Amino acid sequence: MISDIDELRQYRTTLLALTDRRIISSGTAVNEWPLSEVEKLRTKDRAGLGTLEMLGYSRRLSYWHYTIAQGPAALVFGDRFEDVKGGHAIRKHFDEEEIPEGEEQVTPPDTMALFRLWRFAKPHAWWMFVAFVLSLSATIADVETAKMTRPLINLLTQYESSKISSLSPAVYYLGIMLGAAVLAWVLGWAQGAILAWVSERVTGDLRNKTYAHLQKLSLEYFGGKRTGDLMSRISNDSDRLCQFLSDSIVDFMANSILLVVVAVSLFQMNLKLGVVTLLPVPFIVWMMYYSRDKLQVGFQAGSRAWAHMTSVLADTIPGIRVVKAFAQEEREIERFQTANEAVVAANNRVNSLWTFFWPLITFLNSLGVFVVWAYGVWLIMRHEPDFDVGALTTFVWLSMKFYGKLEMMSRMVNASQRAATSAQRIFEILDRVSNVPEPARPVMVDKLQGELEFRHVGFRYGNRKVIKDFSLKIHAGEMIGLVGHTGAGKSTLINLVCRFFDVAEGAIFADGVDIRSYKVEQYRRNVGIVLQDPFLFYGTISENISYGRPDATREEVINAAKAARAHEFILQLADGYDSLVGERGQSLSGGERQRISIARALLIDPRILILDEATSALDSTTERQIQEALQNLVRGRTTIAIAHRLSTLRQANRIMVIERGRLVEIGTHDELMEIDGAYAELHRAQQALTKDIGW
Amino acid sequence: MTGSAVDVDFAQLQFSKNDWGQLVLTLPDGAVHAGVEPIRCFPLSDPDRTISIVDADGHELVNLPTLAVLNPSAHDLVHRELTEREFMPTIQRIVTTSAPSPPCRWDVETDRGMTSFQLESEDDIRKLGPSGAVVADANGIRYLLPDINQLDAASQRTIRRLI
Ligand SMILES: Nc1ncnc2c1ncn2[C@@H]1O[C@H](COP(=O)(O)OP(=O)(O)O)[C@@H](O)[C@H]1O
Ligand SMILES: [Mg+2]
Repeated sequence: MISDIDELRQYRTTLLALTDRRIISSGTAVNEWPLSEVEKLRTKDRAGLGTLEMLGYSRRLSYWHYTIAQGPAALVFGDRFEDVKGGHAIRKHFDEEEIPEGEEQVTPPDTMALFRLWRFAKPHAWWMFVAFVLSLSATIADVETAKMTRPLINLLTQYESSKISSLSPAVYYLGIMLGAAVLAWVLGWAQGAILAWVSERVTGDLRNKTYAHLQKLSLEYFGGKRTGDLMSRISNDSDRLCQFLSDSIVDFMANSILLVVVAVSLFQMNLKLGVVTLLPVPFIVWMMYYSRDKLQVGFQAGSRAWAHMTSVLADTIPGIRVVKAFAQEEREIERFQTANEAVVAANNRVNSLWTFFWPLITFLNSLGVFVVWAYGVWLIMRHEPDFDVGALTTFVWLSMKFYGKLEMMSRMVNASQRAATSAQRIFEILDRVSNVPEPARPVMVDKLQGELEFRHVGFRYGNRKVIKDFSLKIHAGEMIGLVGHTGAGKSTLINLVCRFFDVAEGAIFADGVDIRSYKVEQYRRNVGIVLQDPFLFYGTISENISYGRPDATREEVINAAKAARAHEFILQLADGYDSLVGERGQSLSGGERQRISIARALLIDPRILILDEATSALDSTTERQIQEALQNLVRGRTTIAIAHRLSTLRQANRIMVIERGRLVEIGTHDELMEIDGAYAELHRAQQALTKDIGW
Repeated sequence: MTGSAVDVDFAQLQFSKNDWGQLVLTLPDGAVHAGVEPIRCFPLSDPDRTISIVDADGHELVNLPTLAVLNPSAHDLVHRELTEREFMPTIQRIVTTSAPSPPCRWDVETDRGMTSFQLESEDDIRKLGPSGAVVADANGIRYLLPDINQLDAASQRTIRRLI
């Protein structure tokens, strides 16, 4: 392992190595200690700074500090030391090649988030191209019309000064102007319709893809994320993108091309005037560029503030009972107001930037047109050859178009920055790889036998070791009771069996195959789980029961409900199995919800059934009823039942006791009472309690 | 538990009414249960199948796949009992609504006559199958709309705005 902080708490690296005879440290100097002198290694963890102490038989031999990042390695180092010290050679830990390989994950290219949207737009590239051509034709039609002004004006001035007597050619120019306007309108309409459709489709796909990806991420990801934040990414940010795609992106490209076309026509008409016209452009572009960076920061802050506000909502609306129970409405209102004010403030910051830049850019644009006027007047004053009032009008018109488009484009800076921020937030989800990877070469399985084996399983949450060197073999069809204090790691062990998390060390085998070799979905289909706090989805009772197997017949649903002793209370509800439950639906008691979730687990007929304090929420009578039901159900299924009330585990073949992540005792009730250890103590404590309060 | 009674020969079930107006079930083994109730398991999605007969305490005695498995006299009695137990008028026409969206009062024409009720929120209208709906009023009485497409155009517009 690596100690990355020295005794003086300076960052300095020291390497520590463990062999079967010595511990060697190599930092500024190399030291070594024979193992015979070392009694044990102890790890401590204080406020992010870890300490590994090497204790001898009479004194502390040495110690090393390390940062959190080295924490897991330090724990492993300690474990290995114990292995070696315990006499057995360094245990063969599952080597790299033995761990089933996860699917290869390609790291995302680090380009601008907006360009990555191309992946989603690509299927519609053809339509986008059509829209682009339409947009371009519309603007070119516009420019060409502008060129009609010169002959028209000249015609008019000549007529006015009575040089000619007929205005009939004017009809021709007017006709072209009108035709171009109509053409621009039709083209703009077609382009708008296509883009609106494409952008809806692209963002729709993006949302689908993001949600699908989110569903596949491991529980670990959700543990560290706030519901509201995820919700706002999928709903709000994707909507922003949609607006950007439909309003801005193609126009932006078409406008850029138009700017070039106009600039070229200006130069062609009169080189000097062209140069003068475009004089303010570099400055405007620089301003756009400058404001872009500023805005990006502002928009990011805005998105975060918005996500925070949604989080407050997603937190308090489901938790409204707790809020009311503790009379904290006022505080929650304040919490929301604070979050909301943050949104307002963040938006205001962006707006103040924007409101400053925007008129400035508008002013510069007007200035550009003004320069053309001024210079034009001067040229006419000097009787410049090949320059007349008509030419000036065309110039003014073209430069107005030019600056109009430029103004539009600078407005898009705003939209594109907003969209880029949103795209980033969405891609952050899409770039996340699941910590429970699918195997590269999966072992196919339909129905498992249900034999489970833990081999030296270890697991940690961050730096905290929760499961330590856990080994156990569970036969197919066996029922194992799992007891231990809260926080002992019981639920964690079960999360590992379900593959909500993957083991850090060792492996879990089902039917002799590492569970990481199975396809996650196929494997989980064999595992039924009933949690302490069951979650029901919005829908009818029968939909909730058949959640894991939507194709189940009504008879199967009823049978599962009967087995879970839910049938009779369901019949008492106004709509029987058609009653709505879950959010906003019929409120069910904890025990009733629990029985529905048991029925749900039973309906998939799992080979491995997991009950995590499944009956804790039930009264004794109901619990007894469910016990009866379970008696039939656990038969033929591998069952792991966690329970606080030991009486619940009467039918268990074996009971295991875990303490601080270690298996301390295992055996039948009688055997464990015989040993008179942790289990017997728990049992006595409960007996006493039962007497006291008459459970 | 009495769940074992599922295997009975349904045609052998005897139903009668006692002097209290209760429905009485006599099982083939001679056991008599007074005050039994027929309950539809899926009253909305599949009302005619899986009908449970529960005793006065709510324990299930038998579960009938359909009413047709009963002998004719039992069928009539149970059927009548079911219709007496249930009150779910079918809306045939929405005459007027006091406001375009809830909360509002609806005047409706049902298969049981004209009535008017208070609709509290859009959530009280539930879709049922591809084109049906159930409307629950402020008092919890439910009104059935088996097929929205069968309604007149004005009623259809009213309901479609809300689901
Ligand atoms: N997602 C998590 N992140 C960090 N620590 C956790 C997490 N889940 C559980 N723990 C910690 O792991 C320990 C074991 O938890 P758990 O397995 O839930 O215990 P129990 O035996 O009561 O089911 C507890 O100390 C708990 O605080
Ligand atoms: Mg737990």
